[in-house]
Amino acid sequence: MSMSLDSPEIILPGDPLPQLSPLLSPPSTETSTSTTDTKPRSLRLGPGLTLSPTTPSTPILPYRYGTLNLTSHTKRPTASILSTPRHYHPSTNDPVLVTLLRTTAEQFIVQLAPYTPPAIIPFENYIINNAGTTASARKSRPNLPIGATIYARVAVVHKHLESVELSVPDPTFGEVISQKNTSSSSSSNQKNKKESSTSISAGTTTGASSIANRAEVTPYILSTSQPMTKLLLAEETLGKPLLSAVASKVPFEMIVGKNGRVWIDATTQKEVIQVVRCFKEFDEAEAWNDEDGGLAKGRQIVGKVCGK
Amino acid sequence: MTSSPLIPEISLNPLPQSDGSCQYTCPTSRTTILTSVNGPLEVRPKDELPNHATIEVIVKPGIGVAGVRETRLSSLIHSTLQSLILTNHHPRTLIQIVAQIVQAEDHTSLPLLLTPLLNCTILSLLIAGIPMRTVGWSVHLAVLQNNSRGNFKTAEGQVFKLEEKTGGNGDKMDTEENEKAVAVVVRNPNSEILGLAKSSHTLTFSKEGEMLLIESLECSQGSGGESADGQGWDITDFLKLAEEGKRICCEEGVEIVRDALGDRKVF
Amino acid sequence: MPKEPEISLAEKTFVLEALKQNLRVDGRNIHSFRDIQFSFGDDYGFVDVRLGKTRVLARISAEIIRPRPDRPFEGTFTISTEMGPMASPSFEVGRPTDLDNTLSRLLEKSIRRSTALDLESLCIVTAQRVWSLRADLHFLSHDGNLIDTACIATITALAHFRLPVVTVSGEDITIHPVTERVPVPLSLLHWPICVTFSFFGEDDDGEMVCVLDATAQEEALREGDMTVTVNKNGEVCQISKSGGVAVEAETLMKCARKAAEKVKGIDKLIASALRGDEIARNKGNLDWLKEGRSENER
Repeated sequence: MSMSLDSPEIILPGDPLPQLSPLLSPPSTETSTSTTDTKPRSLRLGPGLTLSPTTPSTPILPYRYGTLNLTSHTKRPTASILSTPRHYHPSTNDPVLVTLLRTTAEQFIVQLAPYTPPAIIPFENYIINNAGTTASARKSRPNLPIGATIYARVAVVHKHLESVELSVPDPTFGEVISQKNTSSSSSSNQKNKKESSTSISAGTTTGASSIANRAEVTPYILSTSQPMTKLLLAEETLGKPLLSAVASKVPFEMIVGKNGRVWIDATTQKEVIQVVRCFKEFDEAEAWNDEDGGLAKGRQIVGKVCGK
Repeated sequence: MTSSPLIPEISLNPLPQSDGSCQYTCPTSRTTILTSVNGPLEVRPKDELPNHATIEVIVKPGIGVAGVRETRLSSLIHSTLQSLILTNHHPRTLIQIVAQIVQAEDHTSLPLLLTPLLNCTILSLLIAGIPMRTVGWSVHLAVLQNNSRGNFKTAEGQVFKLEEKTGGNGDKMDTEENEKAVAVVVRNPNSEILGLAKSSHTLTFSKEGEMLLIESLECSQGSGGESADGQGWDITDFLKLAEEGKRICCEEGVEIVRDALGDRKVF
Repeated sequence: MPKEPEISLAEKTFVLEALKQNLRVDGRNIHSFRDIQFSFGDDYGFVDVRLGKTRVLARISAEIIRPRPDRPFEGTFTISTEMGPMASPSFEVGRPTDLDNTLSRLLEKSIRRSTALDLESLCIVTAQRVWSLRADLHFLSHDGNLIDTACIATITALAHFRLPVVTVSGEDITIHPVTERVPVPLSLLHWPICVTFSFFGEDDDGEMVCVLDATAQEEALREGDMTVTVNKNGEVCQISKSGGVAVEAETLMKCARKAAEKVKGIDKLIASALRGDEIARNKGNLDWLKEGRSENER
């Protein structure tokens, strides 16, 4: 997703969206279009848009402020409102980093973000050794301590159901190591980590192997705002200036959860703190809102935190 | 920020830890409000609604502890927001709105506080990304008698006159009567002007022109004790005033909102 | 009701491990405060204090009341500290938390009972009319160390406040508005400042790790805390430590000395902030005083 240079028009909740009308196939013309198209084109509504039967003139209602994002070239055109509220709104397939609150007979109860309703990971969704049945899933479930951090995927978001359901579909997900002394069980996790995390280092060597051998360092989990999270996830585009600036000073690894949690690891405690501070100060200064995407601010912060 | 006397000073997200916050300063009365919005959050079981989000509005006074006035203000805000927020998007959750009166000329004046409170709250809801049906804006208008002898200072564009009544008023040739019939309206009055006013009207309209809130008060001292029937307000005056209020909210108000949000990046 | 968020094991382990090496996640020294920023409002006695992400507003207001019959020469002074969900969604209106109670008790002990404010100076006519002062504290954002921030805000607001001049002639009491007579500052005898220490158990050398100006995260993980109130002359006004990890007398002494040293710095910061505001108010803005308040550009 690239950003256009000219700032697009801000859409407020309730604004009419006439540009979407051509994409809607009204029922009367459906028969005529079906002769040319085998399937009527249907528009998918992404976050920020909803159908409003009460306003027939503008059936598609934006409910959040932002800019319209339209992908019409694909088979199924999708429209959504691009917006960066600080709050995390879960949507299906999002990778998230969650904290374990408690374990019940059937599921893990986890927290996506502070003060929000808890989410669940049913044991049958926690697949480690290709456990097929519910019974075997329950038996093979890992014994996780309260407060453990799990890298999971949002499986079901249904607002009327009890909660958001997450899954740990394959070994790239799972518990991320939080403690040194659980080394016996973390051998597999170490592997998990390497596959799922982003290893960023300036040098030619990849940071992952060297960091895995660290002595007395524990990783840290940083909470970030939604815009910052999006920036860190877009490591090749939006996040590149900041990430490469930090990586040029300190090699580090990170796993970004879309819920605004970032797992950070480096070779020493001090280095982890440096990375954390760079991200945190960048976020708190709302540097992602800057004209240059935080390029100058990012350099300044990195210079201040990590030294020349 | 004070480019125009009618444009409020708005600072978005001044609070680093809330989902959305806004500080709003009325350009004339210097009333400053700070609001924070958090949500959707986990709701207390007793407040849980099966199909809707619970909206909680707390107004915190600048001086003293919350009393009847704050309860009244929060219920007015609550009922206005109820028709703006799409509560069915986040059932069984809590949308928590806290408004703090930071600075006010008169901490006891309800009409002086209501408009800044409403506008500030709406801006923080937008910033927090709470699903809304549309956007509303509020304006506070004070009606002064034309022959009001008070010396008050107003900014350019702050005062407008309601058109002289035509038709029914035509046969009244008496100049004095005629003069009285023309009401002067002041936008965003400060407490000094409000003290001279005949009546005060807080009007809130949605972007589409739906009327969301009317909170009108008569200010008996505004009549200057000249006549007993100086109290209350004329319905034709009120309709014109409402029309003007609608224009202000739908055009200028929405423009202010767009400008405030315009320089925030989205990606 | 939204509960306090669960701190992940990773954060907990990291913070505690780092503290043992005298490292903090925000890069501070364990004995250093975050930056303190003051901003004053249009009115006297209104201050907005920021300590990192923690933000507290204090507003002083005064009204004339009849004194208590048993204290005919004294005015009154109350401090109101009600927390709301603005600071943190876990605070509920009308349901005080432990922090609420601790905070109001500590401010009471630190400021009121240390007689920082000369209540007799608030008397207008003995047994008839006295000033009743009120400090309203508003907690806008909570990232730890609310106690110290609240205390700094209250003291700054008191020092910033000006009482309108009152003239008494016979039965009549005239309050002169700010526009008429230059209002007078309050008679503050000293500036007691709270310094809160957070204890994290002993490090590898067997020394207690005491951290100053803890963040919300550090507060959630600490094993005990202690608040020392000192003024700039090094006089200890109160020490309170309720529960938590046991601390050696030697550590306590060390903390008290550290607090006295910190307070000297904070005292200077408050004084310079007040001076800055005074200059801004009087210089190039003389009409502000003349007109009281106005729509003109500040």
